[in-house]
Amino acid sequence: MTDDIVITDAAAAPSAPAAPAAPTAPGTPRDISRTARALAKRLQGRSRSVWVTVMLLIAVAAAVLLGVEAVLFALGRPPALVSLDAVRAALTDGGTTGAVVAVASGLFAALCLWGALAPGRTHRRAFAAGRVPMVVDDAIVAGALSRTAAASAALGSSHVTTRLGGRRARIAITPATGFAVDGAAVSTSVDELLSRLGAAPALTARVDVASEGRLS
Amino acid sequence: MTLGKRVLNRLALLVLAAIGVAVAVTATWPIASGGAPMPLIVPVEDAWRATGLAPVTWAWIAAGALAVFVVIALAIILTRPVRHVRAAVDDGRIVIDDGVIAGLLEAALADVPDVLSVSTVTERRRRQRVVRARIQVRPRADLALLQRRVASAVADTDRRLGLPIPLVVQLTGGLRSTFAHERRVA
Repeated sequence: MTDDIVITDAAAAPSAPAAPAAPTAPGTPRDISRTARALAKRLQGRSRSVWVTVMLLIAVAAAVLLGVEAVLFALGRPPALVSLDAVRAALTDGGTTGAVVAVASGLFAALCLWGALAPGRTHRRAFAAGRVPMVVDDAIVAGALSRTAAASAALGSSHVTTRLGGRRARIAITPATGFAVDGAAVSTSVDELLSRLGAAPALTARVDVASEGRLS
Repeated sequence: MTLGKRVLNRLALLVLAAIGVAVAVTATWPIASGGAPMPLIVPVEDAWRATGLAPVTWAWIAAGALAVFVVIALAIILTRPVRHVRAAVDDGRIVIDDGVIAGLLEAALADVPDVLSVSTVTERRRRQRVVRARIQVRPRADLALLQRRVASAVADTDRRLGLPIPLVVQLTGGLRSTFAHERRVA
Protein backbone atom coordinates (compact mmCIF):
# COMPACT_ATOMS: atom_id res chain seq x y z
CA MET A 1 0.00 0.00 0.00
CA THR A 2 1.25 3.42 -0.82
CA ASP A 3 1.97 6.02 1.79
CA ASP A 4 1.72 9.04 -0.46
CA ILE A 5 -0.95 10.22 -2.78
CA VAL A 6 0.18 11.03 -6.30
CA ILE A 7 -1.85 13.85 -7.72
CA THR A 8 -1.70 13.57 -11.47
CA ASP A 9 -1.11 16.78 -13.32
CA ALA A 10 -4.01 17.41 -15.66
CA ALA A 11 -1.66 19.06 -18.17
CA ALA A 12 0.19 15.78 -18.55
CA ALA A 13 -2.84 14.24 -20.22
CA PRO A 14 -4.04 16.44 -23.03
CA SER A 15 -6.73 13.99 -24.08
CA ALA A 16 -8.46 14.24 -20.71
CA PRO A 17 -11.28 16.74 -20.40
CA ALA A 18 -10.63 19.89 -18.43
CA ALA A 19 -10.79 19.30 -14.70
CA PRO A 20 -13.81 20.86 -12.99
CA ALA A 21 -13.35 23.90 -10.79
CA ALA A 22 -11.13 22.08 -8.35
CA PRO A 23 -13.05 21.34 -5.19
CA THR A 24 -11.11 21.25 -1.99
CA ALA A 25 -9.65 17.82 -1.35
CA PRO A 26 -11.46 16.23 1.60
CA GLY A 27 -8.33 15.97 3.75
CA THR A 28 -4.61 15.99 3.49
CA PRO A 29 -2.92 13.25 1.40
CA ARG A 30 -1.69 11.60 4.57
CA ASP A 31 -5.26 11.50 5.98
CA ILE A 32 -6.62 10.12 2.70
CA SER A 33 -4.03 7.40 2.63
CA ARG A 34 -4.60 6.50 6.26
CA THR A 35 -8.37 6.37 5.85
CA ALA A 36 -8.14 4.14 2.78
CA ARG A 37 -5.60 1.88 4.50
CA ALA A 38 -7.87 1.58 7.53
CA LEU A 39 -10.81 0.55 5.33
CA ALA A 40 -8.61 -1.96 3.45
CA LYS A 41 -7.57 -3.48 6.76
CA ARG A 42 -11.17 -3.68 7.93
CA LEU A 43 -12.18 -5.49 4.73
CA GLN A 44 -9.75 -8.25 5.69
CA GLY A 45 -11.56 -8.91 8.97
CA ARG A 46 -15.20 -9.65 9.67
CA SER A 47 -17.01 -6.93 11.61
CA ARG A 48 -18.32 -7.92 15.04
CA SER A 49 -20.90 -5.13 14.99
CA VAL A 50 -23.82 -7.35 13.98
CA TRP A 51 -22.85 -9.91 16.61
CA VAL A 52 -22.64 -7.20 19.31
CA THR A 53 -25.97 -5.70 18.25
CA VAL A 54 -27.83 -9.04 18.40
CA MET A 55 -26.36 -10.01 21.77
CA LEU A 56 -27.00 -6.57 23.25
CA LEU A 57 -30.61 -6.65 22.03
CA ILE A 58 -31.14 -9.98 23.83
CA ALA A 59 -29.54 -8.54 26.99
CA VAL A 60 -31.65 -5.36 26.70
CA ALA A 61 -34.83 -7.45 26.40
CA ALA A 62 -33.94 -9.35 29.59
CA ALA A 63 -32.96 -6.10 31.36
CA VAL A 64 -36.21 -4.38 30.36
CA LEU A 65 -38.26 -7.34 31.63
CA LEU A 66 -36.42 -7.39 34.97
CA GLY A 67 -36.58 -3.58 35.25
CA VAL A 68 -40.34 -3.53 34.66
CA GLU A 69 -40.85 -6.29 37.23
CA ALA A 70 -38.69 -4.37 39.73
CA VAL A 71 -40.74 -1.20 39.22
CA LEU A 72 -44.03 -3.12 39.57
CA PHE A 73 -42.73 -4.74 42.75
CA ALA A 74 -41.66 -1.34 44.12
CA LEU A 75 -45.13 0.08 43.33
CA GLY A 76 -46.83 -2.91 44.97
CA ARG A 77 -48.49 -4.03 41.74
CA PRO A 78 -48.79 -7.64 40.52
CA PRO A 79 -46.00 -8.83 38.17
CA ALA A 80 -46.44 -8.43 34.41
CA LEU A 81 -44.87 -11.74 33.35
CA VAL A 82 -42.78 -13.27 36.12
CA SER A 83 -42.31 -12.19 39.72
CA LEU A 84 -38.90 -11.37 41.19
CA ASP A 85 -39.40 -14.24 43.67
CA ALA A 86 -39.82 -16.65 40.74
CA VAL A 87 -36.59 -15.30 39.19
CA ARG A 88 -34.76 -15.84 42.48
CA ALA A 89 -36.25 -19.34 42.78
CA ALA A 90 -35.07 -20.24 39.27
CA LEU A 91 -31.53 -19.25 40.21
CA THR A 92 -31.36 -20.84 43.66
CA ASP A 93 -33.77 -23.79 43.75
CA GLY A 94 -32.87 -25.68 40.57
CA GLY A 95 -35.67 -27.69 38.94
CA THR A 96 -36.84 -27.49 35.35
CA THR A 97 -36.97 -23.68 35.28
CA GLY A 98 -33.44 -23.49 36.69
CA ALA A 99 -32.22 -25.93 34.03
CA VAL A 100 -33.83 -23.87 31.26
CA VAL A 101 -32.24 -20.67 32.62
CA ALA A 102 -28.84 -22.41 32.95
CA VAL A 103 -28.91 -23.76 29.39
CA ALA A 104 -30.13 -20.49 27.86
CA SER A 105 -27.59 -18.31 29.69
CA GLY A 106 -24.79 -20.82 29.02
CA LEU A 107 -25.61 -20.77 25.32
CA PHE A 108 -25.73 -16.98 25.37
CA ALA A 109 -22.32 -16.83 27.09
CA ALA A 110 -20.80 -19.30 24.61
CA LEU A 111 -22.07 -17.27 21.64
CA CYS A 112 -20.69 -14.04 23.14
CA LEU A 113 -17.31 -15.68 23.78
CA TRP A 114 -17.22 -17.06 20.25
CA GLY A 115 -18.02 -13.62 18.85
CA ALA A 116 -15.33 -11.96 20.96
CA LEU A 117 -12.51 -14.46 20.47
CA ALA A 118 -13.01 -15.94 16.98
CA PRO A 119 -10.41 -14.56 14.54
CA GLY A 120 -13.00 -13.38 12.01
CA ARG A 121 -10.81 -13.41 8.90
CA THR A 122 -12.59 -12.81 5.61
CA HIS A 123 -10.05 -14.66 3.43
CA ARG A 124 -8.99 -11.60 1.54
CA ARG A 125 -5.58 -10.03 1.13
CA ALA A 126 -4.31 -6.58 0.24
CA PHE A 127 -2.21 -5.51 -2.71
CA ALA A 128 -1.38 -2.05 -4.02
CA ALA A 129 -2.78 -0.80 -7.31
CA GLY A 130 -1.05 2.51 -7.95
CA ARG A 131 -1.93 4.85 -5.10
CA VAL A 132 -4.86 2.84 -3.74
CA PRO A 133 -5.08 -0.37 -1.72
CA MET A 134 -6.62 -3.28 -3.60
CA VAL A 135 -8.27 -5.97 -1.48
CA VAL A 136 -8.70 -9.29 -3.29
CA ASP A 137 -10.66 -12.42 -2.35
CA ASP A 138 -8.33 -15.38 -1.75
CA ALA A 139 -10.33 -17.37 -4.29
CA ILE A 140 -9.37 -14.84 -6.97
CA VAL A 141 -5.68 -15.02 -5.99
CA ALA A 142 -5.83 -18.83 -6.06
CA GLY A 143 -7.46 -18.70 -9.49
CA ALA A 144 -4.73 -16.38 -10.80
CA LEU A 145 -2.00 -18.70 -9.49
CA SER A 146 -3.74 -21.71 -11.07
CA ARG A 147 -4.02 -19.87 -14.37
CA THR A 148 -0.32 -18.92 -14.38
CA ALA A 149 0.78 -22.44 -13.41
CA ALA A 150 -1.45 -24.03 -16.03
CA ALA A 151 -0.16 -21.69 -18.75
CA SER A 152 3.46 -22.33 -17.76
CA ALA A 153 2.95 -26.11 -17.74
CA ALA A 154 0.94 -26.00 -20.99
CA LEU A 155 -1.95 -27.79 -19.31
CA GLY A 156 -5.68 -27.32 -19.12
CA SER A 157 -7.11 -25.61 -16.05
CA SER A 158 -8.57 -28.88 -14.72
CA HIS A 159 -5.01 -30.19 -14.10
CA VAL A 160 -4.11 -27.49 -11.56
CA THR A 161 -5.40 -26.97 -8.03
CA THR A 162 -4.30 -24.16 -5.73
CA ARG A 163 -4.81 -23.96 -1.98
CA LEU A 164 -4.11 -20.69 -0.25
CA GLY A 165 -3.09 -20.39 3.38
CA GLY A 166 -2.18 -17.25 5.32
CA ARG A 167 1.31 -16.91 3.81
CA ARG A 168 1.65 -19.99 1.63
CA ALA A 169 0.12 -21.16 -1.60
CA ARG A 170 0.30 -24.80 -2.55
CA ILE A 171 -0.13 -25.52 -6.23
CA ALA A 172 -0.79 -29.15 -7.16
CA ILE A 173 -0.30 -30.12 -10.80
CA THR A 174 -1.40 -33.39 -12.34
CA PRO A 175 0.42 -33.77 -15.69
CA ALA A 176 -1.26 -35.03 -18.82
CA THR A 177 -0.22 -38.64 -19.44
CA GLY A 178 2.88 -38.82 -21.60
CA PHE A 179 3.90 -35.17 -21.15
CA ALA A 180 6.41 -34.20 -18.47
CA VAL A 181 5.93 -30.97 -16.52
CA ASP A 182 8.92 -28.78 -15.66
CA GLY A 183 8.15 -28.02 -12.00
CA ALA A 184 11.03 -25.53 -11.71
CA ALA A 185 9.75 -23.47 -14.66
CA VAL A 186 6.24 -23.41 -13.20
CA SER A 187 7.65 -22.39 -9.84
CA THR A 188 9.62 -19.54 -11.44
CA SER A 189 6.60 -18.18 -13.30
CA VAL A 190 4.44 -18.36 -10.17
CA ASP A 191 7.13 -16.62 -8.08
CA GLU A 192 7.37 -13.91 -10.74
CA LEU A 193 3.63 -13.34 -10.53
CA LEU A 194 3.71 -13.16 -6.74
CA SER A 195 6.60 -10.69 -6.70
CA ARG A 196 4.85 -8.56 -9.32
CA LEU A 197 1.64 -8.54 -7.26
CA GLY A 198 3.48 -7.70 -4.03
CA ALA A 199 1.10 -9.24 -1.52
CA ALA A 200 1.28 -7.97 2.05
CA PRO A 201 2.05 -10.10 4.04
CA ALA A 202 4.38 -11.80 1.57
CA LEU A 203 3.03 -14.93 -0.07
CA THR A 204 5.25 -17.84 -1.11
CA ALA A 205 4.23 -20.70 -3.39
CA ARG A 206 5.12 -24.36 -3.45
CA VAL A 207 4.54 -26.34 -6.63
CA ASP A 208 3.87 -30.07 -6.35
CA VAL A 209 3.83 -32.13 -9.55
CA ALA A 210 2.08 -35.49 -9.25
CA SER A 211 4.20 -38.50 -10.23
CA GLU A 212 1.38 -40.01 -12.25
CA GLY A 213 -0.41 -38.20 -15.00
CA ARG A 214 -3.96 -38.53 -16.24
CA LEU A 215 -5.73 -38.13 -19.52
CA SER A 216 -7.49 -34.83 -19.99
CA MET B 1 -14.56 0.85 12.12
CA THR B 2 -12.13 2.63 14.40
CA LEU B 3 -9.81 0.97 16.90
CA GLY B 4 -12.03 2.26 19.74
CA LYS B 5 -15.12 0.65 18.21
CA ARG B 6 -13.30 -2.64 17.65
CA VAL B 7 -12.14 -2.71 21.28
CA LEU B 8 -15.63 -1.75 22.47
CA ASN B 9 -17.17 -4.55 20.39
CA ARG B 10 -14.93 -7.16 21.97
CA LEU B 11 -15.30 -5.67 25.44
CA ALA B 12 -19.10 -5.63 25.19
CA LEU B 13 -19.14 -9.28 24.09
CA LEU B 14 -16.76 -10.30 26.89
CA VAL B 15 -18.83 -8.49 29.53
CA LEU B 16 -22.02 -10.14 28.23
CA ALA B 17 -20.25 -13.52 28.23
CA ALA B 18 -19.17 -12.98 31.86
CA ILE B 19 -22.76 -12.14 32.87
CA GLY B 20 -24.05 -15.19 30.99
CA VAL B 21 -21.50 -17.48 32.66
CA ALA B 22 -22.35 -16.08 36.11
CA VAL B 23 -26.09 -16.68 35.60
CA ALA B 24 -25.48 -20.15 34.12
CA VAL B 25 -23.24 -21.21 37.03
CA THR B 26 -25.70 -19.85 39.62
CA ALA B 27 -28.63 -21.67 37.99
CA THR B 28 -26.67 -24.90 37.47
CA TRP B 29 -25.29 -25.09 41.03
CA PRO B 30 -28.48 -26.32 42.81
CA ILE B 31 -29.09 -28.89 40.05
CA ALA B 32 -25.55 -30.26 40.31
CA SER B 33 -25.34 -30.18 44.11
CA GLY B 34 -28.75 -31.70 44.86
CA GLY B 35 -30.74 -28.58 45.75
CA ALA B 36 -28.21 -26.50 47.73
CA PRO B 37 -27.95 -22.94 46.36
CA MET B 38 -24.62 -21.52 45.32
CA PRO B 39 -22.50 -20.69 48.43
CA LEU B 40 -21.91 -17.10 47.27
CA ILE B 41 -25.64 -16.27 47.42
CA VAL B 42 -25.91 -16.48 51.22
CA PRO B 43 -23.18 -13.89 52.02
CA VAL B 44 -24.52 -11.61 49.28
CA GLU B 45 -28.04 -11.76 50.76
CA ASP B 46 -26.60 -11.20 54.26
CA ALA B 47 -24.74 -8.12 53.07
CA TRP B 48 -27.92 -6.95 51.36
CA ARG B 49 -29.94 -7.28 54.61
CA ALA B 50 -27.14 -5.63 56.61
CA THR B 51 -27.60 -2.39 54.65
CA GLY B 52 -30.98 -1.94 56.36
CA LEU B 53 -32.65 -0.76 53.16
CA ALA B 54 -36.19 -1.92 52.50
CA PRO B 55 -36.80 -4.39 49.59
CA VAL B 56 -38.80 -1.66 47.83
CA THR B 57 -35.76 0.64 47.90
CA TRP B 58 -33.60 -2.16 46.50
CA ALA B 59 -36.17 -2.71 43.76
CA TRP B 60 -35.89 0.98 42.76
CA ILE B 61 -32.08 0.76 42.82
CA ALA B 62 -32.16 -2.37 40.65
CA ALA B 63 -34.60 -0.73 38.21
CA GLY B 64 -32.33 2.33 38.00
CA ALA B 65 -29.22 0.21 37.37
CA LEU B 66 -31.05 -1.77 34.67
CA ALA B 67 -32.24 1.47 33.07
CA VAL B 68 -28.64 2.73 32.92
CA PHE B 69 -27.57 -0.58 31.36
CA VAL B 70 -30.34 -0.31 28.75
CA VAL B 71 -29.34 3.26 27.86
CA ILE B 72 -25.65 2.31 27.49
CA ALA B 73 -26.55 -0.80 25.44
CA LEU B 74 -28.83 1.20 23.12
CA ALA B 75 -26.11 3.84 22.69
CA ILE B 76 -23.67 1.11 21.64
CA ILE B 77 -26.22 -0.49 19.29
CA LEU B 78 -27.08 2.81 17.60
CA THR B 79 -23.44 3.70 16.94
CA ARG B 80 -22.60 0.32 15.30
CA PRO B 81 -23.89 0.77 11.74
CA VAL B 82 -21.35 2.02 9.20
CA ARG B 83 -22.52 5.38 7.92
CA HIS B 84 -23.03 5.23 4.18
CA VAL B 85 -23.46 8.40 2.15
CA ARG B 86 -24.04 8.96 -1.55
CA ALA B 87 -21.55 11.76 -2.05
CA ALA B 88 -17.89 10.83 -2.33
CA VAL B 89 -17.01 14.53 -2.14
CA ASP B 90 -19.16 17.24 -0.58
CA ASP B 91 -17.42 20.47 0.37
CA GLY B 92 -20.58 22.57 0.40
CA ARG B 93 -20.02 23.91 -3.13
CA ILE B 94 -19.36 20.80 -5.20
CA VAL B 95 -20.87 17.37 -4.65
CA ILE B 96 -19.55 14.32 -6.49
CA ASP B 97 -21.79 11.28 -6.26
CA ASP B 98 -19.99 7.94 -5.88
CA GLY B 99 -21.94 6.71 -8.92
CA VAL B 100 -19.77 9.07 -11.00
CA ILE B 101 -16.66 7.28 -9.74
CA ALA B 102 -18.24 3.89 -10.53
CA GLY B 103 -19.00 5.13 -14.05
CA LEU B 104 -15.48 6.44 -14.61
CA LEU B 105 -13.87 3.24 -13.35
CA GLU B 106 -16.26 1.10 -15.38
CA ALA B 107 -15.48 3.09 -18.54
CA ALA B 108 -11.73 2.77 -17.95
CA LEU B 109 -12.01 -0.99 -17.39
CA ALA B 110 -14.55 -1.63 -20.15
CA ASP B 111 -12.07 -3.46 -22.40
CA VAL B 112 -10.80 -5.82 -19.67
CA PRO B 113 -12.63 -9.10 -20.33
CA ASP B 114 -12.26 -10.39 -16.76
CA VAL B 115 -14.20 -7.46 -15.27
CA LEU B 116 -17.92 -8.19 -14.91
CA SER B 117 -19.24 -5.17 -13.00
CA VAL B 118 -18.18 -2.14 -10.97
CA SER B 119 -20.11 -0.64 -8.08
CA THR B 120 -19.22 1.88 -5.39
CA VAL B 121 -20.31 2.77 -1.90
CA THR B 122 -19.07 5.67 0.21
CA GLU B 123 -18.44 5.24 3.92
CA ARG B 124 -17.88 7.95 6.49
CA ARG B 125 -14.96 7.19 8.74
CA ARG B 126 -14.30 9.81 11.39
CA ARG B 127 -14.46 13.04 9.38
CA GLN B 128 -13.30 11.47 6.13
CA ARG B 129 -15.24 9.93 3.30
CA VAL B 130 -13.78 6.89 1.64
CA VAL B 131 -15.14 5.18 -1.47
CA ARG B 132 -15.15 1.40 -1.72
CA ALA B 133 -15.14 0.34 -5.36
CA ARG B 134 -16.28 -3.25 -5.67
CA ILE B 135 -15.13 -4.84 -8.92
CA GLN B 136 -16.57 -8.25 -9.70
CA VAL B 137 -14.20 -10.37 -11.80
CA ARG B 138 -14.13 -13.86 -13.29
CA PRO B 139 -12.78 -16.63 -11.02
CA ARG B 140 -9.54 -17.18 -12.98
CA ALA B 141 -8.91 -13.55 -13.78
CA ASP B 142 -5.44 -12.35 -14.80
CA LEU B 143 -4.59 -10.62 -11.53
CA ALA B 144 -1.39 -8.94 -12.70
CA LEU B 145 -3.21 -7.37 -15.66
CA LEU B 146 -6.10 -6.32 -13.40
CA GLN B 147 -3.68 -4.71 -10.95
CA ARG B 148 -2.10 -2.63 -13.72
CA ARG B 149 -5.44 -1.68 -15.26
CA VAL B 150 -7.00 -0.76 -11.92
CA ALA B 151 -4.00 1.47 -11.12
CA SER B 152 -4.34 3.26 -14.46
CA ALA B 153 -8.14 3.49 -14.10
CA VAL B 154 -7.73 5.14 -10.69
CA ALA B 155 -5.11 7.55 -12.09
CA ASP B 156 -7.49 8.35 -14.96
CA THR B 157 -10.35 8.96 -12.52
CA ASP B 158 -8.14 11.28 -10.43
CA ARG B 159 -7.19 13.20 -13.55
CA ARG B 160 -10.78 13.58 -14.72
CA LEU B 161 -12.10 14.65 -11.32
CA GLY B 162 -9.13 16.88 -10.59
CA LEU B 163 -8.51 15.47 -7.14
CA PRO B 164 -7.54 12.16 -5.60
CA ILE B 165 -10.61 10.57 -4.04
CA PRO B 166 -9.90 8.39 -0.96
CA LEU B 167 -10.54 5.01 -2.52
CA VAL B 168 -10.21 1.30 -1.77
CA VAL B 169 -10.66 -1.19 -4.59
CA GLN B 170 -12.11 -4.58 -3.76
CA LEU B 171 -11.79 -7.40 -6.27
CA THR B 172 -14.32 -10.12 -5.68
CA GLY B 173 -15.64 -13.12 -7.50
CA GLY B 174 -19.14 -12.62 -6.11
CA LEU B 175 -20.94 -14.27 -3.21
CA ARG B 176 -19.44 -17.70 -3.81
CA SER B 177 -15.88 -16.42 -3.56
CA THR B 178 -16.67 -14.06 -0.68
CA PHE B 179 -18.08 -16.79 1.56
CA ALA B 180 -15.78 -19.60 0.36
CA HIS B 181 -14.10 -21.14 3.39
CA GLU B 182 -12.10 -23.43 1.18
CA ARG B 183 -9.69 -21.09 -0.57
CA ARG B 184 -9.14 -23.52 -3.33
CA VAL B 185 -9.57 -23.25 -7.04
CA ALA B 186 -9.50 -26.44 -9.06
